[in-house]
Amino acid sequence: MKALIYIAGAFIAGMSLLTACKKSSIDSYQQDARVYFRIPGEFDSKQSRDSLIYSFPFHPNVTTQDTLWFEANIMGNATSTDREIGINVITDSSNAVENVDFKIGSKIMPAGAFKINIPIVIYKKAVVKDSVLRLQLAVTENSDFKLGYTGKTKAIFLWGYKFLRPDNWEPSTTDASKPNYAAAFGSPFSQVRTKFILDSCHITNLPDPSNRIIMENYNSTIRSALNNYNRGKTFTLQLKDENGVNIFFPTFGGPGLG
Amino acid sequence: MKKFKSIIVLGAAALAFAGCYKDNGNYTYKNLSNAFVDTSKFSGQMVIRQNDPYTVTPVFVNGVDPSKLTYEWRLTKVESTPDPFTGKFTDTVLSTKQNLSGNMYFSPGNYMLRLHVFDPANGNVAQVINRPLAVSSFAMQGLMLLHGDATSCDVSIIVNTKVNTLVPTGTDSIQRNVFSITNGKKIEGEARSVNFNNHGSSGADSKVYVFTYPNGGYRTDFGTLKTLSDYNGLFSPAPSSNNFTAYGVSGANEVLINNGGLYYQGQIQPAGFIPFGVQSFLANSVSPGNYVATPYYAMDIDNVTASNAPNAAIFYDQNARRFLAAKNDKTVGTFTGTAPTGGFSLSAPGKWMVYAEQGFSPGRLSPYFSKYWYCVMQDVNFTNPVSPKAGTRRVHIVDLGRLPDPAYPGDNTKNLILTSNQRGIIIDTISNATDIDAAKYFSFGNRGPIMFYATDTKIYVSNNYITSNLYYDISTTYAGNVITCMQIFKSNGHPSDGQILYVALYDGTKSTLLQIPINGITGAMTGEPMKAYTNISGKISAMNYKPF
Repeated sequence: MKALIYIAGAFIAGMSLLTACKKSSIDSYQQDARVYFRIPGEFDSKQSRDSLIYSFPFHPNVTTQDTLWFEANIMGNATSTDREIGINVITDSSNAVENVDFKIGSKIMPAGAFKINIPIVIYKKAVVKDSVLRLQLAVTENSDFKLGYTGKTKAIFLWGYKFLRPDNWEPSTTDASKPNYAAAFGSPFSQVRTKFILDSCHITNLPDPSNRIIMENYNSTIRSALNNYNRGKTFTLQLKDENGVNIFFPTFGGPGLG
Repeated sequence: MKKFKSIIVLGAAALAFAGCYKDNGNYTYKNLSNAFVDTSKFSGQMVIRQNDPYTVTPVFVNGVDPSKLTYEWRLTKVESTPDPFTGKFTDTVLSTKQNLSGNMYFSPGNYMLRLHVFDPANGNVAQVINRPLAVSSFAMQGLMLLHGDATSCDVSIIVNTKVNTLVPTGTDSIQRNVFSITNGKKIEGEARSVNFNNHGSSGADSKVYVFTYPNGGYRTDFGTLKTLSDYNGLFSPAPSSNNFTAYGVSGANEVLINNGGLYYQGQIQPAGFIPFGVQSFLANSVSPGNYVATPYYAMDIDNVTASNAPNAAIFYDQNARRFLAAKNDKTVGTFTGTAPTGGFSLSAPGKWMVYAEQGFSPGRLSPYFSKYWYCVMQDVNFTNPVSPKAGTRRVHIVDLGRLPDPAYPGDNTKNLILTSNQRGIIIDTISNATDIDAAKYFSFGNRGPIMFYATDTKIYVSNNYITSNLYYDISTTYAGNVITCMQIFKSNGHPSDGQILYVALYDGTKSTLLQIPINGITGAMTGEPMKAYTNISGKISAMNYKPF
């Protein structure tokens, strides 16, 4: 009886092994085509950010217009024909006017593509020097695409004619290890502080805050420049920002970092 | 099933009986020897220069037939650490032939060469021979000389058993013009300094710096002296004018003096180079707020204790004639406090610095220690521009070690801050010593109170920094030559540390380097023959030790 059980067990196990090798056809993704937005990181394109902040003073060579880019990514399969992405300007949350302050470039997802970089041309005008323009775009459902990931169906752009504070200027309240500018360039953010940094370091744009070597170099450069600026001046005459706050730069890095 | 169990029991019983069977074997015994290679004729220490061909031919014991043996030559690292370049542990079979030959493609470092000799006819009984093998860099360990004329220069290296701890007895040569052999050109500019920077795991990222004027020079790979960056590449951004005068390194701290400005950089990464940034600066509350650094600095200082840790180097401001401290945040600190009795104030010595070098420091009771910095100083003529006053040379001694804090007598947990004026401890008046005013070259010993100074043709020695004796007059043996450089060989832990005086002579076309073995405590010649290395092209302006 036992032998019979053993033989039966072996037979079942063998059959199971054989059937395990059978080719199985798995259905590919056949859900509705969807699209979502992504704004790549400024210094690391693999990173994503919530919004894109652009300051014309950081780009002194720009005369009439510049282009901001963001990604539209699809969920589902690429197709053999071009498809249109539904992009809507949320006017309630935007003060930038389409075709006056900006123009959205191509909205077409080309055939065979899973991702497209969408250009937003922003216009530089002399008359709005102090204003900050805001543009909020959202995915709108159309016959080609439905809404993608929740929370990734909008993109926010801010640009202006003065230095706009990068969202990572101050230390992150949720992640203390996240690189920020204040550690090397001080706080609070201000127009005078930013201009002094750029002028002293002979740069036009802020560096990657995660590059500690560059940040250390710029930190010592601005400390030296501020020291020279303030030399021989009483405290009240030393460098102040536009709000009357004396500017101070911390020493970036620990002993040995310089 | 029962049958099956019975068969197993019977089998086990049979094996048990067979195990008790008496062995009346009929065997032939012989004495096996594994002494195939005569180890007495095997080199005890081998040095092979990287990329050079090499051959190792074992000598066999009489009666051994090498053709009946098999071989395995292996190379392993001495330390159980991975290769700094590949990250792998080195254990490589170099060859399975009787004689080893090939080109040494391993990176510079210390290895163990292992020869395994097997006798296949006798159960592969083996003889294993281990011998240390050092792979030397192309630019060998030794004394680097920077020599040339007003427009170009080159690096040659003295390689002998005095300075190279690896080469076999009898090795004594000059590896000439290493820089131009590697790079296909000489170094542009007049020779100023050649320096070694030991950096990275096991020194794997070390560099040789060659500095010239006005071009600046290069940062080069230590193994070959292949250029890695030019002078401007050392900075971010490049200085407005190239006028290199001094370079120093201590641990991760690097300082460079260019055009009177001191640049500091902490090389905190195990590999790679962080360029020098902004010139180190005085706080805006300090007056005067600028300085002109002399080409002398002290980096062997008490910066271990927490209060002194931010300091990287002490240097001298020829502009305001004061000592200053270069800190690791690129600021410059000033000295404060009262001067010790009989000493001097570092914040305002008011002298002209002629020369300075760290040297012999007397012992102190633990936990304190001294770090003497010998500064040859001179009074100043307050004309415009200010100039040194003749007949006023003195040796100012600054102690930069860990010293007791007078504010806490008897408390050895306290120590003096580095920027205390209390550190200006001694002034020795050497102004009456013969030819001291004409002295152009100086060197201070590190094993005893020795001060050498030299004019164009005469070398003097002083053991008290007050009086001196004529040590060597080169005009007798080397008529027509002038002295261009002089240095006591210093390398902590090296067998020759503080016991060789090198003097470079120049006849207008070629240089001769004198190697003078000295008593490290008195400076006296030991009686060992003085060695002269001749026919070195151009003028030797700088020299420094290359440890590997």
